[in-house]
Amino acid sequence: MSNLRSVPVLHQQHGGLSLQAFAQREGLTLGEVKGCIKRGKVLGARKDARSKHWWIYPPAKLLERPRSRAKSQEVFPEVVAELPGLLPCGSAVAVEAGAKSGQPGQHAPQVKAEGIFPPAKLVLPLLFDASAPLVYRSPAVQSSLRAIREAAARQHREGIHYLRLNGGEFAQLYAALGRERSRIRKLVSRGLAAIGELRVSDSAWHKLQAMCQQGRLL
Amino acid sequence: MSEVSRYVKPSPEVFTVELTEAQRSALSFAALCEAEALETGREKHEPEVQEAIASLREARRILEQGRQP
Repeated sequence: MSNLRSVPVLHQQHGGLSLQAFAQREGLTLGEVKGCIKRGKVLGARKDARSKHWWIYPPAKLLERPRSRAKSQEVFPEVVAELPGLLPCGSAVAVEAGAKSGQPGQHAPQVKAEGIFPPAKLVLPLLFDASAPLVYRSPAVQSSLRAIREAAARQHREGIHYLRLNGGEFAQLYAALGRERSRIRKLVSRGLAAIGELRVSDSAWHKLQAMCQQGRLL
Repeated sequence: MSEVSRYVKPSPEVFTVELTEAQRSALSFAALCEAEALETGREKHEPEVQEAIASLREARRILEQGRQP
């Protein structure tokens, strides 16, 4: 491992262990340690981007099983059971160690995506029934909504005139309004009347016309 | 026969009309203009025209004051 010692030590590498030191501490060979790193079983292993050498940073632990595999077994145990050859994602360990050390430019190990499958069923249960929202069952909310509806109805009805006309009066008004609309339309086209007057006449005309068509009688 | 009489179909039925203030004002003004036009026309002495004028005046009064019981 003399070649490792010849590599200049960067200031980010203070506190990290070389592969040789880590192997000696754990009683393993260099090849075994590299294999453990690639399987994601070494917590804190990072590959230096410039020297291309592995360094082990705190907590520098050798795990019995990869952390990524442990997490995946907790979430999707049936998927893991069906896929015994599923490879752990070793980059998760490296990314976590890199995030803790705060060093830039870390190497991202390859991730084998062939073993990643979406869950075949919903993992999270549906917490509430969308057809019956609980918020509308609250008496306080219901009273508030009732007050809002009543206030809106009062506001809508303010300024509304309820007038009772007999058939003759209604027909005369209907005819008079029709001629008035024609006059106002001509005045608007000449620029002598505002368009708002024509709109009001049109709305009243449409209302009377709808009443005639629907036969709203009392 | 008067032009207005084509639109007049006497009926004992009563209509309840819901109008906004702007619509009520427009209808009232239309009734006033129509009544004035009929009163100044050549057929103002025709019974149908007189009936139309009376209806328009009553309608305008209702629009302005509401129907008296």
